[in-house]
Amino acid sequence: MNPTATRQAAAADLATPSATPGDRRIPGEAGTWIFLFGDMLVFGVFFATFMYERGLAPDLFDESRQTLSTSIGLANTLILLTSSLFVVTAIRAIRSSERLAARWLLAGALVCGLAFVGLKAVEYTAKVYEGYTPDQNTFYLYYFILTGLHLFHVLIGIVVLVTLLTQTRHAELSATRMALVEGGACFWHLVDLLWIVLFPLLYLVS
Amino acid sequence: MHVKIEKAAAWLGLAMLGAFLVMFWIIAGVIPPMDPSDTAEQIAAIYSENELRIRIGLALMILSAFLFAPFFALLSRQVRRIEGYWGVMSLTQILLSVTFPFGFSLCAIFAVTAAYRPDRNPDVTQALNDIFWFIFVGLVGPLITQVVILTFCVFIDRRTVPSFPRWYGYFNIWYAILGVPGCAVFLFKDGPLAWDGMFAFWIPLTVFSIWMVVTTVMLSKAVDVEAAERSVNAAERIWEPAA
Repeated sequence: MNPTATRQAAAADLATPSATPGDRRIPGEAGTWIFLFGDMLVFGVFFATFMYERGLAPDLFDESRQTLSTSIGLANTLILLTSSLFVVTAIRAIRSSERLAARWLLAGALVCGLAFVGLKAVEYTAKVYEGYTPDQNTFYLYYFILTGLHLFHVLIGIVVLVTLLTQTRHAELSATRMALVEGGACFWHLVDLLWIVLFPLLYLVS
Repeated sequence: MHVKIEKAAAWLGLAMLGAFLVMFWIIAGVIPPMDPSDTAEQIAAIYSENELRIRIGLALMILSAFLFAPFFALLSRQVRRIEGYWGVMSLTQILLSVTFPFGFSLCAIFAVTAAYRPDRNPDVTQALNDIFWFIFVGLVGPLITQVVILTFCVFIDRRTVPSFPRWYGYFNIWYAILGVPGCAVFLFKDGPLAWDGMFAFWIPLTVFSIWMVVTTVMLSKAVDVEAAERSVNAAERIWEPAA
């Protein structure tokens, strides 16, 4: 088979939605997962570093943990979960060419993303105002760095969501575009997933 | 002959990665990094105890850092091939490639200066040492920008046989994101974002090493793709348009 034909065959393969349970396929391009798993792996190292430091000073970490505002953390968790739901339904709408619905759903996800950033800003400001800064102790150092790195991911995710929103202008997406859209959606789910690990790790585990 | 020279340029990148690790880690001993919260006297003591090691290891880097250039020349050429002409992406790639060897040689000059007169005022040695680490670990912008451009190129390559596989584009995003925390070393003297920290030093160093290995192999393959394209064009008497 010549390369063009191979590409077209691969593209056709990508375009087929996962209709039957027997016909399983990877969402997005296979390459997306190199990035997603690579990122998860490194966050795994971050979490392990945190746990190691926590093991060195369990009392300090537990005391400092209790000063965090669980309600804001919980609100952010719910916001991200909701945004993920929006993204899932938006992808479904894009697949069935319901452009208007997809646009509103993605806008909803975007609002959730911005709300997350807003709440984080409130939380950071409150912490600094109360006198808790990264210099204070190891827990706060890790708290600011880990949530900061996650926030960096959220900001990239917001750019991704805006890109997805621009794709709803097209009535039909080519296979490559559809794969990119799915990859972008997977990235947003990764941002959600990382927070779901991060939230209990920082706010809840005693 | 062209193919051989270009392949050599690709593998030179891998060789330089190895040379860098040997010079900094084994000869000079500046990896693993010293503690940024050490006092001036402690830093000065490290430099006077390892004076000769540091000077030899880093002098080798000052001499050889410029051997990274052919590797980045090849990278810029491949970006040019995807772009189709000497456009903004390939020119930016060249401009930033010029800065790359200085990232290594300039930082090494500061550390060599610190080790050159071990009996001087420790405060001066500490300041020189800080500059060494700030350039070595903190100057991440140029390479990250190059990697972002490369990512873009991989994704816009619409030719039948692209120079790079698409997963390489995602791999570059991964590197670009994980390389960024190095820029935080200016703000911390302690913890994971200090210059001896897990997030600012060890993870960026690891992903940089992986990136160099993967990019060497990808460039070597891109040279093959280009050679095949040339031989097809030659057989069909299609001449490549001038840049």
